[in-house]
Amino acid sequence: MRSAFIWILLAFEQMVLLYFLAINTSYLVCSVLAFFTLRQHRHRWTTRELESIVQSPATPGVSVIAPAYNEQATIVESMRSLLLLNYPQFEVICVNDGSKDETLARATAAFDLVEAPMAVGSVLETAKVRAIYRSLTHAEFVMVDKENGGRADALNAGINAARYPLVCLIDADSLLEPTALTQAVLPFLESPETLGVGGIIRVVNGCKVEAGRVTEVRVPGNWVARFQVVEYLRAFLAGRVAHSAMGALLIISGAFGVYRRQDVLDAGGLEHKTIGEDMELCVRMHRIMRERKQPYRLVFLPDPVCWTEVPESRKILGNQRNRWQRGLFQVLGYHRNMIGNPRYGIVGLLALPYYVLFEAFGPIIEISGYVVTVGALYYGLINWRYAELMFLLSVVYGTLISLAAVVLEEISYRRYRRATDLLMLIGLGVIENFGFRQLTTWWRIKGTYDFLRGKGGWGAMVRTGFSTK
Amino acid sequence: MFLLSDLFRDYLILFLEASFASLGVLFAYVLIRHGVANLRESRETRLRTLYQPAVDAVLSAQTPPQLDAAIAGLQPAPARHLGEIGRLLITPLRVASGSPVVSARAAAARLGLIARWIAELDAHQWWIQADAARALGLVRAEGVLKPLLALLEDPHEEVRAAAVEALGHLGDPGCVPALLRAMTDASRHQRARVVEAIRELGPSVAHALVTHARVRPDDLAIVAELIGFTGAASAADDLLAWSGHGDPKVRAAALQAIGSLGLDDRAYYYTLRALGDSDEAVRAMAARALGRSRRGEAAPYLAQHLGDDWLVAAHAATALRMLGKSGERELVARQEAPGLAGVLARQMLWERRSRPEAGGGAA
Repeated sequence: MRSAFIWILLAFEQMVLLYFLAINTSYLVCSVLAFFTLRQHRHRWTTRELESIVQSPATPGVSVIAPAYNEQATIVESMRSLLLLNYPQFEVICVNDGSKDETLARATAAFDLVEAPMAVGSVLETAKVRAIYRSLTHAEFVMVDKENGGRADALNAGINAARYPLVCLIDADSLLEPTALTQAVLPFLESPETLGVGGIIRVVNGCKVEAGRVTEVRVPGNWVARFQVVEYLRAFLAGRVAHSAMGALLIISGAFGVYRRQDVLDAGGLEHKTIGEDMELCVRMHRIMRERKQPYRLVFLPDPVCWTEVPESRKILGNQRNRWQRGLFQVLGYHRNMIGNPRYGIVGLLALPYYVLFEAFGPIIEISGYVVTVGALYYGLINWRYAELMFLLSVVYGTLISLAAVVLEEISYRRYRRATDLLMLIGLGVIENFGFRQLTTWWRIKGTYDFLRGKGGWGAMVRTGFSTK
Repeated sequence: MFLLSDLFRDYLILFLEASFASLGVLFAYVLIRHGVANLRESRETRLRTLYQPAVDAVLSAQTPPQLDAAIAGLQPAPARHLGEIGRLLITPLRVASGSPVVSARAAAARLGLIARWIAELDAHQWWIQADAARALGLVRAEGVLKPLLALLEDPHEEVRAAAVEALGHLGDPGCVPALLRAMTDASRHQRARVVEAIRELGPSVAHALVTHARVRPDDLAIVAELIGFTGAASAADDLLAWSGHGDPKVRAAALQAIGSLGLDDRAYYYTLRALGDSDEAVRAMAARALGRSRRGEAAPYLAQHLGDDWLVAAHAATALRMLGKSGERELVARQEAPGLAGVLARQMLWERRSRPEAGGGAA
């Protein structure tokens, strides 16, 4: 009995070791791939040169759709920043998803909103739309007021109301850089096969924001937000750049993504039963196009920047990670027959299995690794020195990957201009291995547990508002 | 039993050492790069401050002696500063035309920049080729048509795109057939660039476009669309002929172009006739053209299409909004109508009241 137990323990230890090697090596491979992609991308068109293209009558109009639920602190500032976008033909549709606070009232006062008769088709089914308002001061601003139905439902209502062939789906608190829309639209001009484009999400906490624009980029003062800066750099500059280069991009972030409206309608809009609706739409589009055997592109671009406020308290961050984990499981559950299925090409054979193994079950394997190591130490299967070395290796490897992300930032966009900020980012890559990483693993395990218990819902995000920074 | 951990144990130290070494290398790389990038930026700022006044003097020179004196101010610059001077010279040309372009070209020629850019068209790095092509286009360099046309066949998409842009700046109608061929190049928004390049060539290009369409009837629709963009009124007869073409795509493109050029009496009747076309896109383009004509007498005809297919109805409603009092009368008469016609009429009336610039003020 005891020998069987030890045998299982040893076998498990082998598995954890293999997993550790595989996940970190895959991150490194992504970083190397991203390095070459970004080096090429850097030499592409500058903003000034893009302008002449954007003035062309061949440039399609874009409807920017921002759902808002209890966003009274940031609504006016956010919408103002959206209206500053440098794009020839666009409208901003803010969907008030049955807010219980003063979101609608504040927007009405700030933008002179009046109720307007509008010809809105209801191609996608949504909760009841109460009224549509247009602004007398900003002709391109539309507000859809509807009953609460969740983020996906609000976005669907916005897509119904959209007048232009492209829709840009964002969060109400997202701050888009003035050229973001221009850059995100380019892949659509470049290739008619483009279905969707995602931009990079950066952390706005700590940055100086004036009149809806980020004027100075700084590392946040709050430690919880600081760690997320490195996380976001790693996820976007290494992860998404590489996934996109392989044609296996599975997430266009809900905070900023541009789609062809007709393709979203054809796909049936956003799925409001899941909390991972951004990933679900992306995976569904892969699925539909692969089943139809039609060529298509879902692209991540590293330069259209969307700034977003990240949680500054552990509790709210924990809720967010818990929600992301539940969303991930839901999406993988919906599309489980794609996983490992050669019919879906690289998406079925590589991207989805990667998410299953490293993202969905990663936290469980990681925690099991800690438990097994303790067990193996107890039974004398490994000695302390070996355990210490293993831990050191995991820290060094983790730091290497974070540092690689900082290098990618430095060779491409150099947003963090101060040497002290750069050193801070590198330092964060080391420190996060002692506590923060384990904490996120724990939140994700709780998310997995909550998913298995069938818990839904979003949890609250308390916003402080950009103007106060 | 074979244990991975045993194997790994032997290599653990080695692995750790390799990881530490990579960490050190990356750390040094990122810091050195940061330093070098900062140095490069401050050098660029310094050079810009140094040469900007002289470059401004070149671009604003009104007489040949002024220009000579301004160029003389730049000539003592060492060769390593020429790249930055070239950038300063061409940057304002993206939005300028006329005498600044002539002055910039003269300065670039005298400083040896044009010869340098022509040589760079054969560079190994694509971005140097693309920058050189764009620079030659912006200064409207002479005698570079051939090498730029050759770049349209370059294997790198960015270089091809830069060549299209440069050809547009040069303004030589001889490049039209090559540009239209480049429209089939699906890479890097080449289509949009070609459209922009041909727009920049202006109305003088109409003859070349029409000739091209006669030789290659497959390109008729796109040629019609381009004529609309260039504003070439001399091609109006051909457009009217194409508005009765057998292919609905050609008819729609021709009507779109007619709408952009403006309607004379003959075009007005052709367009009215097209309102009864069997194809939805053709009817929509006819409605759009009638709206842009601002001819109030078209209002009753447009009003009949408020209950048409959505695309036609939306264009007809927008057109009525632009037709002043007579358009408003038709909209008022239909605001209580059931279905789409009523919804569109109410919306357009609201827009006329709340946004005079959307058509309410124009009569």
